[in-house]
Amino acid sequence: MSLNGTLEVARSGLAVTALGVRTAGHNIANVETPNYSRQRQLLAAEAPVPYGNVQLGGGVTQLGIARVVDPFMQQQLLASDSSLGGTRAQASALELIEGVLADRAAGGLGSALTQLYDSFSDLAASAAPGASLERAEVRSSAQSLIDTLHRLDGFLRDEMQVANGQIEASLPRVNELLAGVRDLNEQIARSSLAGSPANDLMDQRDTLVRELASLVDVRVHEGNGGRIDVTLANGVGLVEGNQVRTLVAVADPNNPFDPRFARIGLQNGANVSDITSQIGGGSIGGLLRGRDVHIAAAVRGLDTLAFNVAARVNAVHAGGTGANGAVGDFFAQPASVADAARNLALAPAILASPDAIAAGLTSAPGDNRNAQALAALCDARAPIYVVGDSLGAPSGPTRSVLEHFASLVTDVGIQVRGMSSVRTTQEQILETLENRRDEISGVSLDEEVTHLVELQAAFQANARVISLVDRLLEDVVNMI
Amino acid sequence: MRITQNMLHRTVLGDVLAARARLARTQEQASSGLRINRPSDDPVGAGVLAGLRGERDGIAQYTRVVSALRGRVGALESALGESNDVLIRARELAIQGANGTQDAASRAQIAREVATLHGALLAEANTETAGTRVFAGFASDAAPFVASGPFSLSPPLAPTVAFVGDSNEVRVEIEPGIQVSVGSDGRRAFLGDGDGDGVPDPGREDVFQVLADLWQALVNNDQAGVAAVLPRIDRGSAQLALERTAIGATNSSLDTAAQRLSQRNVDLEIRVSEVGDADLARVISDLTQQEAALQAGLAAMGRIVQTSLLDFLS
Repeated sequence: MSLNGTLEVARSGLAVTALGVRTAGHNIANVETPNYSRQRQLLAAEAPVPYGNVQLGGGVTQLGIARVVDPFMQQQLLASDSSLGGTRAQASALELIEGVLADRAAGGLGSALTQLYDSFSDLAASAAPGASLERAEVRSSAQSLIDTLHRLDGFLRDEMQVANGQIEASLPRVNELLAGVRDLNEQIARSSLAGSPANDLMDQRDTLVRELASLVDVRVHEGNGGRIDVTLANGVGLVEGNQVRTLVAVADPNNPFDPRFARIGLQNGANVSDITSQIGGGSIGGLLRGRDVHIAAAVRGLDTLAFNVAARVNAVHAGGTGANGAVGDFFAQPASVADAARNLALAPAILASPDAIAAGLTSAPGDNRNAQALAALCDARAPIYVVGDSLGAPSGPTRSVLEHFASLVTDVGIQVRGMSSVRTTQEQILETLENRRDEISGVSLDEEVTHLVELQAAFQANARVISLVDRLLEDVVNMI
Repeated sequence: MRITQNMLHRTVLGDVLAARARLARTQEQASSGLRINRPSDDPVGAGVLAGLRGERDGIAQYTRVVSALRGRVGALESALGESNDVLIRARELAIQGANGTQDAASRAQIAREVATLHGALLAEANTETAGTRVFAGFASDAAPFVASGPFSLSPPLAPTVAFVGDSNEVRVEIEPGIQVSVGSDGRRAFLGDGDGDGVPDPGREDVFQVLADLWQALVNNDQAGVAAVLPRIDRGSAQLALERTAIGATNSSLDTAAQRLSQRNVDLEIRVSEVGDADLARVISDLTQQEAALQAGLAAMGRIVQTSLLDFLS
C-alpha cells in the first residue's frame, strides 16, 4: 500500500465531483429547454486493488451520463399532442360556422328569411294597384335573402380554401420534421455505437416527434441502434431506418367543392398512395375534418335551406297569376340541393318586373289570395328536401323552413359545445401529462442546488484527503 | 413526488388562463345583458330562444298588418255611414216632395238636390283609399260603379248605375288562422244584389235606382210616386246599416286582435327574457368572485418566481 494510491483515490473523487458539477450545471442551464430531460451521473466504485489478503477500494469512476426518462411517457404525450392538435383545428372550424349561422347581428340569415315572409304578408294586407310598392318590397326582400345566402356561402367556401391552404402549408413542415428525425437517428446511432448515448440529441428528437404528432397522428417505435421508427396510425412507415417517405398534397378532382382541394398522398418512390383516410388526428387531420366534414356540412345546410325556400315558394307562386298575367316560378328553381345556396336567383320574369309576382290567383289587382298563401308558408310544415333529393320527392323530416334553420343553428351549437369541452379536457390531460413528465424528467432547481451543495462538500472532503496525504508525505520526507 | 419550478408555472398559468377565460365569458354576459350569446352557450336554450323570437317576429308582423288594415276598414265604415246620411237627406226631401202644398216648380227644385245626392252616393260607392276602391272586390283599380250618363230634363231621364267590380271578398289573415274580410261587396251593399242575378234580391233595393225614381217622380210632379219611394228609401237605409254592422264587426275583431297580439307579445318578451337574458345580480356577483380568483392566481404566480433555495444559501 502506498500513499500515492490514496492520492489516486482522492483524485478520482475530485474528478468525478467536478464532472458532477458540470452535469448539475448542464441541468440548470437547460431548466427552460422544452422537452429537456434531466441528466444524472452513473457512478460506480473503481475495481478494488488486491493488497495482501484484502481488497482495497480504488476510488470512484463515472460510468456515463444518463437521462432520466419514462419511456412510456413519450408515447402518451404524442397521443395527447395529436388529439389536441386535431380537436383545436376542428373546434376553430366549428366556432367559425357558428359565427356565420348565429344571428345576433342584424343582416343575418334568420332575419333575411323572416323578412321575405313578412313582405308576402304585407303584400297580402295591401293587395291593390298601389301595391307596386309592396311588390317591390317583396322583390328586394327576396334579393336580400339571396345576397345573404351568397355571402354566407362564399364566406364558408373561403374558409374551406383557408383550411386547404393550411393543410398544404403544413405538409412541407411535416417532411422537414421527418428528415430531421432521420438525421438525428443517424447521429444518435453513431454515438451509441461509440458507446456514449447522445442524451441531448434524443431530447431534440423527442421535440421534433412531438411537433410532428401535433401535425399528424404518428406512432413511434424503438428501432435498432437507438434509432426510432415513425409510422402512421395504421403502421405505414414514414421514417424507417434511414428511409424517409414524404407526404405530398394531391389535388382531388372528385371534390364536390373545389377540384383543387388537397388529399394527402404518401410518396413511395415514384408511386403516390392516398393516405387521407389514415390521418385522423393532429392539426392536419383536424383541418381535413374541418374542411370536408364540418364546413362542408354547413355549406350543405345553407343549400338545403335555399332549396327548400325556393321549392316551397315556387310551388305556391306558380299556382297564382301576376298583375301582368305572368304565371311561373318566383325563384329560378335550383337544379339540385347541392350548391343551391350558391346558385339561388330570382326567376327572370320576376327580375324583369315585380308585376310578375303572383299576389292573386287571378291577375285582378285586388286579389291577394296567393300572397296570403305565400305568407302562410313561413309556418307551414312539410317534409324537407335533403341533399340528394330531387324536386317533388323530399325525404327529410317534416318541418317549417324556420324550424329547419333553427335546427341547423342548434346542431352547430351542440357540436361547438361538445368540441370545446373535449378541447378543455384534452388541454387538461396534456397539462397533467406534461406535469408527470416533469415530475420524472424535469429539472428542479432546488434539487440541483442541493446537489451542488453536496458536490461542494464532497469536493472539499476529497481535497482534505489530498492535503492530509500531502502532510503525511511531508512528515515522511522530514524524517529523512 | 418531485415538483419542479416548471410544473408550478404550468399549473398556475393554466389556472390563471382558465380564470381569465371564465371572466371573459362573464364580462360578455354583463356587457350584452344576454345569457346566451352564441348557440353553443346553451344549445337547447338557443333553440327555444330561436323559436320564441320567431314567434315574436310573427306577432310583430300581424300587428303591422292589423294597423295597416285599420285605414281600409275605417274608409269602408265611413263610406257606408256617409251613404246612409245621403239616404237620410233623400228621405227628408221625399217627405217634403210628398207634401200636397208643393207645386211643380218646387218639386223640380227638390229634384235638383236629389240629383246632387245621387252623385254624392256614387262618389261614396266608389270610395278609394291608398289606391284601392274598397267596394270593388278584386278589381280594385277602377271605379266599381258607373253611371250611364248625367240626369237630363228633356226628356226627363235618370241615369242607371252599373256595377263593374267583382264580388270577391278580400280576406286578410290578422292572427294565426284567423282571416277577416276587409272589403265589402258593393253590389250587395248598394245594388241590393247579393246573388249576382242583376236585379235586387227580394226585400232589397238598388239605392241608386231609388234616388233615380225619386228624381223621376219629382220631375214629373207625381206626388203619389214620390210618396211611394219613401218606404224604399227606408229599406235601402236598413240595407246599408246592415253592411255597416258587418264592417263594424270586422273593426272590432281588429281591436280584439290588436289587444290579443300585444298581450301575446308581452308574454313572449317575458319568455324570451327568461330564457335568454342574463341574471344581472348573479352575473355581477360571479364577476366579483372570478376577479378575486384571478387576482389570487396572479399573486400565486408572483410568489413562485420569488422563492427558491438560492435565496437561503450564502
